[in-house]
Amino acid sequence: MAFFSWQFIVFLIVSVTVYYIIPGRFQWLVLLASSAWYYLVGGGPRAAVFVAATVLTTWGGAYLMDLIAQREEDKAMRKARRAAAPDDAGRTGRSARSAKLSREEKKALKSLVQKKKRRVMTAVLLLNFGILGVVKYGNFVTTNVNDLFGHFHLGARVPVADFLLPLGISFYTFQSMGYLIDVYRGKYAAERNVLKLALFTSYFPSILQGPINRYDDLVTQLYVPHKFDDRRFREGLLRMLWGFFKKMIIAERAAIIVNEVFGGFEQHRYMGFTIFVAALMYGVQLYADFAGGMDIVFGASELFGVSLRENFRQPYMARSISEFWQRWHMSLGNWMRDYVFYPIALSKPFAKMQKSLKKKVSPYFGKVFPSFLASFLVFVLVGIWHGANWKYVIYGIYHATFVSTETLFEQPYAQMRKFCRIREDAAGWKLFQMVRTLFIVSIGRYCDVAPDAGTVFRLLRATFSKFNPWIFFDGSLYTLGVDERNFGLLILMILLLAAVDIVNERGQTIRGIVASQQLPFRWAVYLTAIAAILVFGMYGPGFDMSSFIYAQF
Amino acid sequence: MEENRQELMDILEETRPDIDFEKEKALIDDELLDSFDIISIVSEINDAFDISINVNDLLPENFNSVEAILTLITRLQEE
Repeated sequence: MAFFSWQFIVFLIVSVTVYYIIPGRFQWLVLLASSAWYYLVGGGPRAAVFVAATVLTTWGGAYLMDLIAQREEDKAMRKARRAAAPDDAGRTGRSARSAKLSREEKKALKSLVQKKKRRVMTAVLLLNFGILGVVKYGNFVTTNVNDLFGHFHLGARVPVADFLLPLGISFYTFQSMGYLIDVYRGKYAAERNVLKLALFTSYFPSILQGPINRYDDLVTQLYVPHKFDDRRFREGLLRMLWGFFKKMIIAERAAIIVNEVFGGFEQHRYMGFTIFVAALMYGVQLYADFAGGMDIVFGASELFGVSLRENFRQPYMARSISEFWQRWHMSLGNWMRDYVFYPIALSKPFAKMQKSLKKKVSPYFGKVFPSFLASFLVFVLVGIWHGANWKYVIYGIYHATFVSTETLFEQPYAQMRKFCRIREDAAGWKLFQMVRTLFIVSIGRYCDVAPDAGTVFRLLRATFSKFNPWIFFDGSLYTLGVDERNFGLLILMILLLAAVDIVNERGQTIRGIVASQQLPFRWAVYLTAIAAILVFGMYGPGFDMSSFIYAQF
Repeated sequence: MEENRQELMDILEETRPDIDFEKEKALIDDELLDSFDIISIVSEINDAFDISINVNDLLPENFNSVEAILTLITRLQEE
């Protein structure tokens, strides 16, 4: 069900109305029913089986881990009591009742419990990431294996299975596995109620394109009664409008230029700045599309009184690539940090490597190299997360190189800045860093827009083999599918987007300011926004609002 | 305890000389320390105090302040 459709609006109105008229203790069941309905309509029964499998295995696995811990502890305590009252095992004397585990016993118990829990966790992780791997990468692997067979003139062929990706599978798998690992780590107890875990996994506002929620963020919100809060409701609606505005007016307009230039660059011989402008426009499109989608998600969730953790923080104001990734798709970055980066960087082989590098090379190198290597691996993984294609592997390595070398060469970079007499807090230097980051990010996105790895390199050659600044003045920018009037409007809207980001960066929100105004002013803003979306929004018979870019990951 | 504190302060200040560790009480929640800082601090602490902080201990409440880190170190030394 597309976000921008009458069905979705009716669905949301019905869902919210029922939510606030039934008793508070049943509200979460309305959310669960709405999520099930939303997913069945959007993904169909086959996709729902995949979600159900994830819910059941995660719930069962986490529950089992808690039971194991409880059972082993009881067993150890019984043993300690028996040891305290050896004369009569059946009678628990005073000393037996107050029996405590010694430090060694506690240590042994902990290690036994962790070992048993690890087995359960590994099985559930393998199963769920296995499913994700097969449906997402099965086709990629079999095609590459067949290519390899063909290369060596071997007759053998692996059958290629083309799976239809179940809706939102990456998002709900990552979210559920985060929950499972947290239970394993003892961060919180397992959820006993399978239906409650089903709601956490399939919460409809965020199942399509994230954010990847954390259980401890939602547990205090999803299952508790909510009273209707009109201010919060207004802010939610306004946020949804702002999302539609970004998606319909900005992203869809920028997309026309992007599709024209990258789709036909070889046929129309687009070169130099034309391609770079399209790359910048792709940056605008992606941001307006993804962050706009998030605004709709967060706004819709706010209507039910559930606040999700932000997924973007003015990414284009980042001064380095690592800072960019701390501001862009933050829920994925945080997931990777907690469940991939930390375990790798703190693993025993890495600790050993660190010690030996400190001794053999230098203390500084030993200190930064493990983080460098771990972050490199994480970014390659983030690249692969984007899709089963070699171009995404290149994308991962490209970003990994910038992020990891930032730390590795921190000292020489600082010396260079000192040598060039650059003041780090100077506004000009900060601006330069932002523009530089934008440039690196834009070039990296060639991997995203090109259909394959070969085209990425052809695009790069076409960009840097011609210097044609006159395209900014001779009107050729208006021949890329968007006429002069619409191009002007697009630029104006991008400036508006930038202005809102600057306000947000200063810790304020426009919707907070609007929502606290008097009724006539508020309604003037709502109606203007709706009118703008209807008048300037890009849609037509072939327009498909459901096709948010990130929903495909 | 006082000795531990001084040693910890040396590690923290060497990693991030720009942060006032005596004052800050939300090193993680306010995002003052990033993941690279954490890894480097943890490895230094492990070496200096001969303990093994593992990934399960990487909770914000264990790293938000000098006192919290000291409590973690003491707990792991006792285990």
